[in-house]
Amino acid sequence: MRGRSKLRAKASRFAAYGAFVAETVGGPLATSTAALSALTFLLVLAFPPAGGPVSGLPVLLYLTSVGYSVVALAGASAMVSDLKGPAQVFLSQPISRTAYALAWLSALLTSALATFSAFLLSFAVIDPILLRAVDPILAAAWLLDAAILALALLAAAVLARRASVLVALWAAMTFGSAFLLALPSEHLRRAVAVARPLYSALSGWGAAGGPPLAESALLAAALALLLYWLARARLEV
Amino acid sequence: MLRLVGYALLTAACVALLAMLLALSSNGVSTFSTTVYGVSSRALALRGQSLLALLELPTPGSPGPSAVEGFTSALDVRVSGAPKVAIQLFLPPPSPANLTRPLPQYSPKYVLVENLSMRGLTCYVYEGRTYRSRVEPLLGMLAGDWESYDLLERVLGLSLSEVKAAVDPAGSYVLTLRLGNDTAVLCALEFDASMAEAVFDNGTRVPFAEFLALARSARVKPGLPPYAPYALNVEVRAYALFRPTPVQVARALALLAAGAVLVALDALLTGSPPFLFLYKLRRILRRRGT
Repeated sequence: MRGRSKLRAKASRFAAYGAFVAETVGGPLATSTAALSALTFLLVLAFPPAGGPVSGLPVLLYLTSVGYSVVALAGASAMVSDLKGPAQVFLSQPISRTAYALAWLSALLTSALATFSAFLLSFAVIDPILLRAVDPILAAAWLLDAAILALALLAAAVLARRASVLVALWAAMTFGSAFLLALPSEHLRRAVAVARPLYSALSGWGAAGGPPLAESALLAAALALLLYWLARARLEV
Repeated sequence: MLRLVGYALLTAACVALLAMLLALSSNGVSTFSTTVYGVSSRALALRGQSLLALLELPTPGSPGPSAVEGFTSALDVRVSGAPKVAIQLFLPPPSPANLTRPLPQYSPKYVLVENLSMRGLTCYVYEGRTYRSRVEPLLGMLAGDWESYDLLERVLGLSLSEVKAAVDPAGSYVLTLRLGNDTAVLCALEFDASMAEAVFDNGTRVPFAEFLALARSARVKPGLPPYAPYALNVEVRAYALFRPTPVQVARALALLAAGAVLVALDALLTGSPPFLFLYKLRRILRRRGT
């Protein structure tokens, strides 16, 4: 009985902190979603109805991914600022280090889901028939790509605790990947394709087998474990 | 975390509603536009003193069966210029009567018809299926017999609607066509042929009526080269017009409601008031302002 009430108290503390983190990420998320929804509408209107927005879908998916990456960067930077101040209050008693990292991770992963849902639903508002143009593999690649980016940024936030490092990592992952995919080195391209499955799917690299989703999922799992280890080892109480 | 999904849905719904409101307030938004090339003549037809050139307009951007809701295609057509029509003369087909004399080696012969004055432009909109199955064969027959008034009437009678062009101050014929799903467009350009002259290769000019009589007596069939009457300026601009439907507005409102429910549910479950980020934003803006 006592154990259950303890668990409930833990859950409610996590929920309260989760709401605080969600409010921190909510601003950038709303701004980015507004811009992306407006862009989706504009691009749908700018294509002839016969072709539909299908021809512009890769551009939209790329821009949605860039929009989300800004949300992830803002979230990870907010975590860095939080770690310098208010986090000490939370980490000293109410929530555990793992729960603290988990709250930020949940916020960023939910933001990814929210961004993608808003993108799909913007299509559905215009005409549900447009959803047929979104390939499930491409959708899976988008979500895995966002998860890897969020995990990498959060791990860097816990490890380096400097916003400049996060910006450098974000720029390398967002813009550097496209250049690296164009390089002749097979190993390097393979690594980039695993780290940014959306980019490899959109650029058509490895078109025969599609984006390496299984390897990307393994990378995401490895980054999650790394974040868990870093949270336990590097967050002070 | 439900509130994050709620915020995203609310924002997407607000943007969609705003875009729809803008489109409704301006009676439709057009963001796609293209110039149509490749207007081709399908047939020439005689109607009294008039010569009709039937032009087929390609309709890029006109919706196919998978048309997107709320979009309609429109065509702006403008025709101007002092046209000349090149008529191809087909020799009579071999028959027992003309087999006795050797047939000349085949080469297309053209006669230019000049001094035509434009009398009007009417465009006919057809259902795509009707056009393909019934109008096109008739046009093929009409191309071989330009004096078949009956065929012409049948072709024009199968249309869903017709739009007559107005004359603008510059003397061009202009009209706008709204196209539905899977439609085809045929425009009849009417010329006054009473003052027209047929110009032969050797420079001989004869009145058009005389040319017709000569052609009839020689059993020479006039046809039409597969391009539009030249010295004629046909400008066609195709664009897609978006006007939101009530169902689209209802879907956006449903999205708004779903977002609001998610935010309210999260606020109830966590006990934390929603939209705190807006206060933060206001604070930041105030700080910047002072």
